[in-house]
Amino acid sequence: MASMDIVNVGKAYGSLTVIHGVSVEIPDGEFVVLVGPSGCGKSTLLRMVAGLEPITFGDIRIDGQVVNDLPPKDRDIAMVFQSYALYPHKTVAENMGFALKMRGEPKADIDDRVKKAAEILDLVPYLARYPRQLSGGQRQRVAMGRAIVRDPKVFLFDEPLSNLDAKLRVQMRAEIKELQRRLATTMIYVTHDQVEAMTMADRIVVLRDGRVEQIGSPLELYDKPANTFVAGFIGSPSMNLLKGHIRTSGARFFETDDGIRLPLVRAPEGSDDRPAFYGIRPEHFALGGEVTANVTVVETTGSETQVFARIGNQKVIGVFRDRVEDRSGQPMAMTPNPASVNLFDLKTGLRLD
Amino acid sequence: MSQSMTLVTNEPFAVRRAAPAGKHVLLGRAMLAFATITFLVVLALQSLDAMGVIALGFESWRPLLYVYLIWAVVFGVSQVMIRGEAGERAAFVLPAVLFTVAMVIFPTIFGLYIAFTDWNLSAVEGRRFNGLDNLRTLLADTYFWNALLNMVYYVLAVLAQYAIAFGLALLLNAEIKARKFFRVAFLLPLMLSPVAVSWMIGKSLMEYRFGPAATLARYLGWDNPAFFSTPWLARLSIMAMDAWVSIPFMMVLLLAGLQALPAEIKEAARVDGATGWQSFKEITFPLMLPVSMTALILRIIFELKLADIVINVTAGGPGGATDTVSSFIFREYRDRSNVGYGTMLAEVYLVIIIVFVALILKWASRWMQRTN
Amino acid sequence: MKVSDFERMMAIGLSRRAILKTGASLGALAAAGTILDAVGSASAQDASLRSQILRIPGVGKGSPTDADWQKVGELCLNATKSNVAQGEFAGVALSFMGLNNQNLHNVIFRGFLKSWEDYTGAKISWIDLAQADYNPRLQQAIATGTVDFDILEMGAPFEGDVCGKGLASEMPDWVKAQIDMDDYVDYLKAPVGTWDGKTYRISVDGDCHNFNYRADYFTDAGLAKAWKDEGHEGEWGVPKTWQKVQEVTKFLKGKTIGGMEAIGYLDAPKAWGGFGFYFLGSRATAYAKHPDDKAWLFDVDTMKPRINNPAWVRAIQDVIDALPSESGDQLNADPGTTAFQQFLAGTGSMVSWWGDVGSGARTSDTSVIGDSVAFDILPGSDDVYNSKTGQWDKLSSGPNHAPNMAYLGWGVYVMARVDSDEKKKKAAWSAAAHLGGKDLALWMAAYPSGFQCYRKSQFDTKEWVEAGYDEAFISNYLASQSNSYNHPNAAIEPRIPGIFQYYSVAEDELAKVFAGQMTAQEGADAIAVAWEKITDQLGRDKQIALYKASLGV
Repeated sequence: MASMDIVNVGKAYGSLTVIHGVSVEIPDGEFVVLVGPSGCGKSTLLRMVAGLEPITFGDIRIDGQVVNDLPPKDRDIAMVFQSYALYPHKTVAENMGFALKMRGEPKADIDDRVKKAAEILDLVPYLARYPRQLSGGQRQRVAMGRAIVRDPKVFLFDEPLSNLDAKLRVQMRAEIKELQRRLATTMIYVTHDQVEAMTMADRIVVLRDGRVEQIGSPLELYDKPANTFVAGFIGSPSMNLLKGHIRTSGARFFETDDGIRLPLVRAPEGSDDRPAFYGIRPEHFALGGEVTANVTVVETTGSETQVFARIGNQKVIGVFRDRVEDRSGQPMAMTPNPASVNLFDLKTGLRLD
Repeated sequence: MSQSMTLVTNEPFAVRRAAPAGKHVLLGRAMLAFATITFLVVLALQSLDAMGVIALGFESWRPLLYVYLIWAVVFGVSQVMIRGEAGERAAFVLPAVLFTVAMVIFPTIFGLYIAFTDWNLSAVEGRRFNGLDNLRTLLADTYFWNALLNMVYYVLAVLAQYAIAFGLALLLNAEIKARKFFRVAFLLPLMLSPVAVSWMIGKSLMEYRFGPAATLARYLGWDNPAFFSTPWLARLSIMAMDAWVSIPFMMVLLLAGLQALPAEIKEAARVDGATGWQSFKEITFPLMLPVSMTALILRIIFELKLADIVINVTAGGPGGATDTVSSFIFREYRDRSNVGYGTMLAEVYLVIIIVFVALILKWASRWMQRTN
Repeated sequence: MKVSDFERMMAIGLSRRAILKTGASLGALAAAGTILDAVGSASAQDASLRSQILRIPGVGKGSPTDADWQKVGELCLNATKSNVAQGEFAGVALSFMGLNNQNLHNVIFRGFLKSWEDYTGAKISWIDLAQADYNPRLQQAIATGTVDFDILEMGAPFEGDVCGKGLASEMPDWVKAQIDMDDYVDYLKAPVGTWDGKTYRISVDGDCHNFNYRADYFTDAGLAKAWKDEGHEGEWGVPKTWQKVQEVTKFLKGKTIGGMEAIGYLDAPKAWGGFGFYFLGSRATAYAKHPDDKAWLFDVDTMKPRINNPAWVRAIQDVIDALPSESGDQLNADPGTTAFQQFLAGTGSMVSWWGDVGSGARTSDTSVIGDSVAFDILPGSDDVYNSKTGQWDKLSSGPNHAPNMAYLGWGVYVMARVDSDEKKKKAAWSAAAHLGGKDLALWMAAYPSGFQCYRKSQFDTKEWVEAGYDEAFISNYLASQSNSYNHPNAAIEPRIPGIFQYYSVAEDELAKVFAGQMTAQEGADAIAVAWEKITDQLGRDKQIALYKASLGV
C-alpha cells in the first residue's frame, strides 16, 4: 500500500519522444485507469512505472521515494500482463508462489498465502494444474492471483481483459473492482476501453500521443470533458459535436453552421459570435421541442432506442429510453437539454466555461 | 502418414472412381504376376550364376537392378489398375518406399549378413560365413572398447559444448553492440568442413614449432606446448576443435529457441523479483529444455560419428587416447580391407547408437513435451 | 619427378634456368641439348634421341602438355616398330586402368600411347581412378574376380594379390628384350615383378628409403668439441650405424647449433595409414636382415612373424629410447611431419625418407636447409640378428647394411584375360612395353610424371652435371639412391596379399608402445599375434606359398 507520484515523466527513443512529461499523483489505495487509443503511450507509461522500461526524464516516486533507477524487483509492485505471462512449466500454485519463492520466504508461508489467494479467486481446485489446462478466465485469475499473493505496494494491470470474450470481460471487470475494494491497494490499470475505465476507475487519466488530456473521476470526465478529444473518447455513443457560433447578444442560443438555433442556458462572458462546438451527449436529447432533425436510421436494442439523424447537415445520434417510432427519412423533433450542453472552442477544442 | 491418408479418403474425389472396372483388374494382376515372376527368375539365375552353379556369364548384378526397376514401375501401374483410387494413392508413396527398400533396408540387411562373414578383400578364399566369430572378436577387441570409452568422453564433452553454446546464445540474444556481426561471425566455424578445421587449427594453429597457439603457450610460460602428445591433453585438444566446429550449430538452435520465448514471461519474472540468475534458472532454462534436448540429442548423434578430425590430426593417438569408433572402423575397412569384421563393428555400433539415442529420447521426453 | 616438387618450384616463381642454377631438382634435368655428347654409354643414335626428347618441351617452356607427351611417345616408338607391323592390331580394343593423380599417370600414358595406337591400329579405353579410389576398386576387382581391364598400372605390393591369384599375364620374352630389363636397378630385378619364376611386371618407377642428414651438424666445431669432451668414442661425424644414430641423438639433446635447438634423428611414431611402418622398418632392417637370409619380416616356411624377435624389438626399443631426445611433440609426428614440417624446416638432423626430401631440400619454399642437406644409404648395424641361430652376428665385413626398399614403385601389368586371344595379348604387351621403354624412362624422370628413377641408365651423373647440376650435390643424392637400389643385402618388401593390413595393425600397436602403455616386447608380441590372425584369415598356406614366390625361394 503506497502512494505513487508520476512527475513530468517522459520517454524518448532517440529523437522520437513518445511520452511528453506526464504527471499523475496517485494517493494510497486509489484505482487509477490509464486510457487512450492505441499508441497513446499508456502501456509504455505503465512499463516505466514497473521498471521494465528506463525513464528518459522525470521522476517516479513510490511513497515519496524516487524509484527511477530501481530494478523491478526492488519496487515492490505486481503486474498483470495482457497475455497473463504465466510460467507454462509451473503449476498454478508455483506460478502464484513464484515471487514469494524468489523473495526466499519459507515454504509453509508461501503455501498458506497461495491458498488464501486461491480462495479469494476461486482457484483452489486448480492449484496443481498447469496453465495450459486452464480456460482463459481461469488463467486471468491466476495472473491476478500471482499479483495479490505478493501483497505489493502497487498493482499494475496491462489490458488484462482484452483477451477475454465480452461476457467474461464484464464479469471480470466487476471482480477486479471488488478485489480492489477488498485489498484497498493502489492500482494502475491500462486499457483502451473507455467502458472499463468508466466502470472501474476511481480516477481516469486520458492519454493521447504521449500527453495527458484530462485527469478526473469518471463522472467529471463524462460531464465536463476538458476538450473535444475527451468528449469524444468517453461515453458511448460519443458526444455529438455540432459546429456553429455562440450568440449572446439578445437571445442566448447556439446557431449551427446551417443556421439552426439550439438552446443554450450558459455561455462564457464575451463569447458572442464565438465559433465553437456545441457538445451534447446522445442521451441528453428529449423528444419533441423546437429542434427538428431529419432521421436517417432508427435502431433499437430493446432497452433503448438510438436515432441517427441530421440537424441541418450535421450528423447527430440521440438515445432515448422511450420507444421511438421508426420514422426513417422523416423529420422528428428532438431537442437538446440545455443544462447538459458543453461548449468547446472551435480552434483549440478546449472546453469553454 | 496414415493420418493424412485417412483424411484423403474422406475427400469428395474419393468417390470419383471407387472401384476400377473388372477388365483393368485382370490385366493389372496379370502384369504384376508377369513382372514378379520375371524378377524372381532373374534373381534366381543371377544367384545361381554367382554361386557358380550355372554359368550364364553375368558380368555384374545390373540385370537384376534393371528388372527391379521394371518391376517397381509395373507394381505401381498395377496397383492403380487393380485398386483404382486406393492404388493411385499408394502410387504416391510407392517410389519412396521402393527406394528406401532398395537403398536403406536391403543394404542394412545385407550388411547384417556380411557382418557374420569372414571377408577380407585380400583373402584368397573370399567371403566365408563364420557365425558369431566377428562378434566374439569384437567383444574381446580392446581397440573397440577403448574407442567406445573415448566416445563416452566425447559425448560428455557435448555437455560442455552445450553450456558454452547456451552462453553464447544468451549473449547474442541480449542487446549488445554489433549483434548482427557477431551472429554471423559465430556461425563461420559451422560453415567450415571439419577436415579444413583439422588442418587449419590442428595442424597449423596448434603446430608445435611455429603454430600461433604453441607460440602463445610458450609466451605464457608453457615450455613444451605439445597439444597432442599426452592422452588427456590430446583428447581435450580434439574436443576443443570439435567444439569449435559444432558449438555454432547448437548456438543457432538455442538462439532460435530464445527468440521464440515470449518476452512477457521474462518480464513477469523480473517483476516477480527474480534476479538475472534466478530468471535464467527458473524461467529461461526450463522453457528452453525442449530446444536444449533437441540440440543435445542432435549433437550427440553427430558426435558419435566423430572421425574426420581425429583421423587427420592424431590418427587416434597417442596410444589410442583420441581414437573414435568411426575412425577405428575406417582403419579396419580402408587400411585392412577387413570388410566382414568392419561391417560387424559398424552394425554393432549402429545398434548401440540406436539403443542409446532411444534411451535418451525416452529419458528426455518428459522435458520435451512440456510446451504450451 | 614428383609433380608436387615441380609445382612447388613453379609456385615460387623459379624459372627452369634458376632451378638448374641452384643445382636442385631431379626433374629439372630438362636442360639443354648439351647432354647430347655427354651420354657415354648410349650409341650416337640413342644419344641423339635422348637429347631430342629431353628438349620437349624444353627449358623454361612450362609444364609439358598433351602435345608434348604425344611427341615424346612418337619419338620413342622405334622399339615398338621393330616388334610390331604397322596396323597389326587393327580392330583390337584394350582397356587400361590406372591413376589420374595430379593429372599424371594415366593422363600422360594416354599421350604416350597416342602414336602407338595410330601405328598399331589398336584402340585403348581408359579407366582413371583417384588415389583414394584406387585401392578399393582394385581390391574389389580382385576379391570378386571381376577384372574389367586388360592393362593395369599397379604398385608392386599388390603383386601378391594379383599375380598370386593368377590374374596377370606372363611376360613374353620379346617384351623382356624390348624393355631391356637388365638396365633395371638391382632390387627391381627378379624376384620383384615375378611370381613362381614367371615375370609379370614392367617397371615404370622405383622407391627406397635413404638417409637424409644435415652436413652442417657434423662439421660443427662446437658439437665436435662437446662430443670429445663428453668422452664419446671416435670422431664427431655422420653416423654410419643405428647404434651411432642413437648415441648422437641422445648426445644432441640440450645442445644448440647456430643458436637453435639441436635435435638428432626424427622418428615418426604416429600412424600414417600403414605407411608409417616403413619407418620402423628402416630402423630395423640393419638389425633384422641377415645377408644369409632373404627373409626378414616373416619366417619363410611358416609365416611366423619376426616382428617380436630381438632384432625388431631392439628397433622398437631404439625408438622408445630416442623419443625423449627428439622434438617435444614427436609423439604426434607422422612421417610426413618428420620430413616436411621438421627436417626441411630446420628441425632435426637425420631422417629416413624417399627421394623427395632430396629434391625438395633446395627448391621447396619452406625448406631452410638447402645448402646443408646430404644423403647416404640407411645406416647399418654393428651386429645383425641371425634368425636361424638366435644369435647376434658380427660380420667380418663390418657393419651390416640393409637398405629398406620401402614400397616398390609403380609397374604396368597385363591381365590374364587377354591370354586367350593371341592378337590382343600381343597388343596389350606391346602397349605396356612402350610405356616401360628405356628412353621414355629418361623423359619421365626428367619431367613431372609421378615416377622416379628405376633404371641404371638414369643414374649417369655426367648427364645431370651437363644439365647444370652441382656435381657434389647430385652425385651424393643419386649415389644414395643407386647404392640403395643395387645393394646386395637390400631389404625388399614382401609382396604378399594384404601387406598393408599387417602394417596397419602394427601401427596401432606401436602407437600404444610409443605412448608408454606397453613395453617394446609386449607391443611386438601383440603385433605378432595380430599378424598371425591376419595370416590365418587370408589363408596361411597360400600366404606361405606367395611369400616364398615373392622371395624367389
